Amino acid sequence: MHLRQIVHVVLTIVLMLGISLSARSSFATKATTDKLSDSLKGLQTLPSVINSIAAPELQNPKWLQEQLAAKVASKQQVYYSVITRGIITADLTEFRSQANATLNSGQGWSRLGVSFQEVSSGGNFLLVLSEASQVPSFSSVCSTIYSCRVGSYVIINQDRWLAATTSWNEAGGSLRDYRHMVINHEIGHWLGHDHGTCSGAGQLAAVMQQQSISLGGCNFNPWPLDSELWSTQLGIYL
Amino acid sequence: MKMKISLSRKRIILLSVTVFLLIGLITYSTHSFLTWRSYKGQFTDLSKIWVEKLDKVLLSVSSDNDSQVEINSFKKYIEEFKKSELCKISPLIAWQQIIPAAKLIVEQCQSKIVVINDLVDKLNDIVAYLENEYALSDIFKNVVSLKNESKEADWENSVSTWKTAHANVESLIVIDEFTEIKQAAQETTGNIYIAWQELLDSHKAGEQARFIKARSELMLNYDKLTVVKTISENQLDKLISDLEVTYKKTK
Repeated sequence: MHLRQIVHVVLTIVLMLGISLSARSSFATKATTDKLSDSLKGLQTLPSVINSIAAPELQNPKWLQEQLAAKVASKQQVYYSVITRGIITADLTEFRSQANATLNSGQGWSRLGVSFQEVSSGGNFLLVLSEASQVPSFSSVCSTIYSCRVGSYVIINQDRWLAATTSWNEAGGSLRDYRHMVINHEIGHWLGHDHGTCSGAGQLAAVMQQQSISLGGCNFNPWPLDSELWSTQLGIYL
Repeated sequence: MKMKISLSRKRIILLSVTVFLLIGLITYSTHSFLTWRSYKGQFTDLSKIWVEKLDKVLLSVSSDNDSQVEINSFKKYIEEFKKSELCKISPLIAWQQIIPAAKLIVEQCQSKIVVINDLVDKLNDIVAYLENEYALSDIFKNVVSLKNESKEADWENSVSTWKTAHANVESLIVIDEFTEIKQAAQETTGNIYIAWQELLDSHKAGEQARFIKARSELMLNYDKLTVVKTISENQLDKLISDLEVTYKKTK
């Protein structure tokens, strides 16, 4: 072995040792600061106290129960007509009957004490089955991807009606349930609802949550929750 | 031959004073020398000792213990550190810093402890922050005790409990780092109190639309409590991160 080679080997060993020692020291410091951070965060009490403050489950007072019972007893009638826009490839008869079934389902908005009746034209709202590319023609806020509601137009995007959405399908939702959800969601807007959010992982999603986009940890749910049973459009507050 | 040494009284006094001054000078010089030597030797060890002590205090924190006990151990450390007066030198010797070598020793000491001083300040910030947080948690604990299932008979109590909570938050005296959290808590407790009051008033008036609106406002404001939680978590994260940056400098 030449002297040059020996020097080279010795230098390499020294360098490796240096790197290893410095790495060990930096790992040790990181481990210490991680523990430090965890320990100090463990001393915080406010988040857990706030988490334990739950919104109260308010029972309706007696006078309100009586008023609501009287309202439900006299069922309110809501009229709507079905129209189309663009080239429609979906079965329109099926659309009509499934939409009506959703609207009048005992799990749906009929729990507000209303019944939905299709009429040949006009009505309180217009239920539109629209070719995807035509949805933005109702308003610039509508996209070709999703369904939409503009004034008295409740617009169902044909592509979604036929195939739901990727996130819905990936979460294992059925097409029929998606159709229930999309009708209930868009009618919900007409009834006066804005978008809702997931109330907590594993909970049922509010029907007004944008479930077509993301479930946000909630389980999919095509029907309005009890807490969503109100309508500024109809003046109903259950 | 007899030598007769005769010293005048004046000379004796002068000699005595000279000897006394000489002894004083030697004593003072020795003392100075020893002080500077031990001062130089000690400051490296002292800063190490205080960092190690801090490691012990910080890394022994356990969520199993009472938070207040842990906070007290931090406070004890901070107090001890402040009392220790590292780098302080006796005023009898301190003037010698006019000599560049002595000045350099003091400067070296001060540069060594500047990081640990900073670290103690950061820890002090966290202690003050957590104490503010405990005070706020105590206020919130009173509303936790309210019944979850709430009937009309319980609503008066809910109004007064939230009113008290709001007033207590308002009167909290907090450090700058806690101001944002206090403001958020003050706003939310105030809004919850107002919503409860409106719910009660609309109930008493038997007005359906007003009652439903108040109920929905109430729910929204309860949801906003998470804002207080998020701000407090972020703020503590920031304080801890500042502490970590300084802590790494001690290593």
